[in-house]
Amino acid sequence: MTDASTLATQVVFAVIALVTIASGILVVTRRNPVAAIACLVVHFVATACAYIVLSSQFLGAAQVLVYAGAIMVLFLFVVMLLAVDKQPDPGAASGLGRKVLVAACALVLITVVGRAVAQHSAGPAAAGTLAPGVEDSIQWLAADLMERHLVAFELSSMVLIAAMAGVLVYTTRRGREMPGGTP
Amino acid sequence: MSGLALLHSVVPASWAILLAVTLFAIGACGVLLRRNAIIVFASIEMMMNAANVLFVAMADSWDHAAGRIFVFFVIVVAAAEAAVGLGIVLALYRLHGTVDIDRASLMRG
Amino acid sequence: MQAVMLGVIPLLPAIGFAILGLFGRRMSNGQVRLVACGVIGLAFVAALLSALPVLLGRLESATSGAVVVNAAARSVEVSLWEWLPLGARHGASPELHGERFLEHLSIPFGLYLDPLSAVMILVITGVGFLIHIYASEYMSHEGGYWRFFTYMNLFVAMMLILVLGSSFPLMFVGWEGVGLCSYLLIGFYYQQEVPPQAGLKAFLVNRIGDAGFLLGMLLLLLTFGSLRYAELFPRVAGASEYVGTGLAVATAALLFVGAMGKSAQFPLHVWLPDAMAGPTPVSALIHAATMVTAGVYLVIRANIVFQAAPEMSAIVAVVGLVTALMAASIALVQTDLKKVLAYSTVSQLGYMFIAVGVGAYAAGLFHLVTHAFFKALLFLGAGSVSHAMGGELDMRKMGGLAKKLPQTRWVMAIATWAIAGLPVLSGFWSKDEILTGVVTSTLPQAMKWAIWGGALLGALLTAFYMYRLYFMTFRGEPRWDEGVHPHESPAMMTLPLWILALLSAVGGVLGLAAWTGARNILHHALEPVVFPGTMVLGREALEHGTELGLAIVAIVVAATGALGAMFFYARRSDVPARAAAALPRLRELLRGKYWMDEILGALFVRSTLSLSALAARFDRKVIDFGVEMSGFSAGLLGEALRNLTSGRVRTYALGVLVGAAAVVSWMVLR
Repeated sequence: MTDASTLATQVVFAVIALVTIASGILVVTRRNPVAAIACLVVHFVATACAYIVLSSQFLGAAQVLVYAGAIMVLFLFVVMLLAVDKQPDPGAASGLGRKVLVAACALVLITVVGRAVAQHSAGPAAAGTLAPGVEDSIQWLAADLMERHLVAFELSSMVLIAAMAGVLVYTTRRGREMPGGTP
Repeated sequence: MSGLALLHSVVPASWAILLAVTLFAIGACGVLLRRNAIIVFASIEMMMNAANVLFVAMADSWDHAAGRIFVFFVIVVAAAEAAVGLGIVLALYRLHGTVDIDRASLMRG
Repeated sequence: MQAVMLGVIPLLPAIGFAILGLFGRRMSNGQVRLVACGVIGLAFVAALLSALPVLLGRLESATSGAVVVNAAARSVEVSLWEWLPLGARHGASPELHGERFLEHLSIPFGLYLDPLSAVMILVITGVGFLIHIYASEYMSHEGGYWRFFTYMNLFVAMMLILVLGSSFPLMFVGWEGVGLCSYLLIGFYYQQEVPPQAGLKAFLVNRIGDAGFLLGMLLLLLTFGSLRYAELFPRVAGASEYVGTGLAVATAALLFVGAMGKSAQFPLHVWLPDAMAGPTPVSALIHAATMVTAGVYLVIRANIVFQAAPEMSAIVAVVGLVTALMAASIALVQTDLKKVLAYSTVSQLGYMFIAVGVGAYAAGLFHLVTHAFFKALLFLGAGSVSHAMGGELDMRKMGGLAKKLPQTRWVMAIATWAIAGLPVLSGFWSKDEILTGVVTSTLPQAMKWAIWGGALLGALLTAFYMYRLYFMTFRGEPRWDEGVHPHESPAMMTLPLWILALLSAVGGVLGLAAWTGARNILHHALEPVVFPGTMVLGREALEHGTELGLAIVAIVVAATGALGAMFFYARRSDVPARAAAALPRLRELLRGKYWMDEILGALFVRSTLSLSALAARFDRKVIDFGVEMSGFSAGLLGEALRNLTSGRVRTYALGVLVGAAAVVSWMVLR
């Protein structure tokens, strides 16, 4: 790769990273839940872009499909269903001490990990990697998934089914009204 | 897509790791500082997302497929978990009429 | 045989105490009387049987098991059991001033009968028996009859242990025991306000003395390694380098402090007049005849220790003199019959200490015996008067009782004659022997003649106030209130009075003076007890003529006192009032008992009370505060920790975060 394209890639990644962080902060700080969820959508999309830059294209696509597409829709659905923005705001701010403590811990985490990372960069290339030069990552990903991790793959489908069943079980009540008047 | 695939990007791993940790910390703040259950849940999703970023970054840096597979499964489980969690939020709403998680305590003090 | 007889003596009153203590509540007055007087009477018989061989010197040395008979010392020692085995090895002789004597220390519970303790037990059981008989009638109208005799029997048992104990610790047991009984009996009328306070005062003042006694014992133990008389005193006698040392003075001083407390010497005399709040038989037995003489007994018993510190011995005599004069002067202005007798007791005890202070131990013992006779008689007679007058004790409300109470009047007359030291009754002989002892002592001339003069002045005062008592009570015009019908006491009360009167009269034969040519029985009997000639308190010789001359001087002085009293009080006259008016300040001083109670109160009582108030405040503010704080902080901690399990999700999440941050940091930074 040329230096220019390297630099370009890195700049792109930096921009994407900034967007991700900014939208993340927005999610946490918005009063209005709908606004927060919207920011979260942006966050996930930006993350998907980051995946693509980090040469996991399939995951980027999956991220958009599943996270931004399905999970966020689910969130929005619930938010709208509960008409949360029309309810009295329960998001009264936490006490100052709490905020300070949490901020401190977060900063500690970031700095500590940052310093650690600064000291170590290279990692081992373990067995079973893709040989450098092989270009078709998605194919390889699929092969790995279906061959070596087939059991886990099937089990994950069971997880989904269990989740569905569980949700159905405890969220349906016969003949019971939800407060707010919606059925 | 063979021409376009980049197996190993030139993004320094440290940047990506730092990004992951930052997102994780932001998510943690959200979990702890917000009382709205839905936002808390959203923050949890952010934290899982941050973990995903980390896996992807490492898979990229070390050219290892395991990271990507792991992310795949995390996304699956996250979806399931989002469904269940939001179901819980609904149940919480039914019980207390509010999504304030501080009200979700049966204990008196 | 001897052992059994000896052991029985204190055992009998103890048994009486046990029976009355356990069953007395359910016994009738007659049964109580029988038990109480019976055990004392039997103890007297046992004492007589044990004491006679010892006093007459008819002993043969022998050692059989626990009994050691020493003919030379005229002693019988019976070790009943091993009481305080403090040492690992027995039998080896420790070194003087050595470090290892405590390994061999073993204090047995033993009884020691020698001429001194023989005389004491005869007095205790004999006079005690008479007083018990008297009291059985006197107290018959009081409540708590059985309780009274329970305490009385316990007292006699303890007093006997005191004088029969073969070592100082055992004497101390009896010492404390009689102190306890004194407290119990003074405060016998506990429902009233004054008696319990008086009992407490007696006990506390005694305690001061006890502290001195214990320290003195400790010094003796550390210096000589033993506290058993048979072991200790020979060692002291043989330690010529001990004489006159500061250690010897300190030891003697501390023992004397103990004697001062128990025998009411200045300044620890303040409890005795207040002790008159107890029933009259108690005053007679405890505060005249026996308990208060324990201090004198102590000094005579430990005479070798005092002889080793001649300066201290002299101080003892001086303290005795000061006490004698002070108490006699206060007695001059007392109006309560028993209070006069109480101060008189303090004064006479002072005389006994003068005697033992100058080394005339036999004289001191002699006076102890005669004083027991006539003072007990005086107290019992006072009880008779009070019984006749319906409980009245103020002499200003008496007078002219001679016709109404003839028997009481005559025995009191005998007793007063005796205590005044007029010939030929017992008091004359004992007081005279004390005076002679002062003159023949080896103290410096100026000192001993000053003491002699002071004692003579005391005799003058004694005669005066005693005859004042007699005349105010029995002669002169009747002054009693309406509704009082004086009548003579019943036979049970008057019989002991007559016996005591007889003893007061003829008791003098025990110690006839040298100029009569007769043998001084007590002096001779006491010889092995006192260690003559080895120590510094020797005797000077005195010609019989000089002795007789001095005796006559004493007689004249006493007679002057008596006649003076007669002049003042026998007829209705205003002489006392005029004399009082002429010397108002003196009168105030005497009336106020030299302000002794006030001084001691300010010095000790108030400071102790403020110290305890301070301590109480400290206890509340600091210690209680601390304790409450610890409880409070436990509560605080609980409040804080409560949040850990609040049930609030966010709190738990915060905990997780903090913990995770900590763990990650540790892992990364390690």
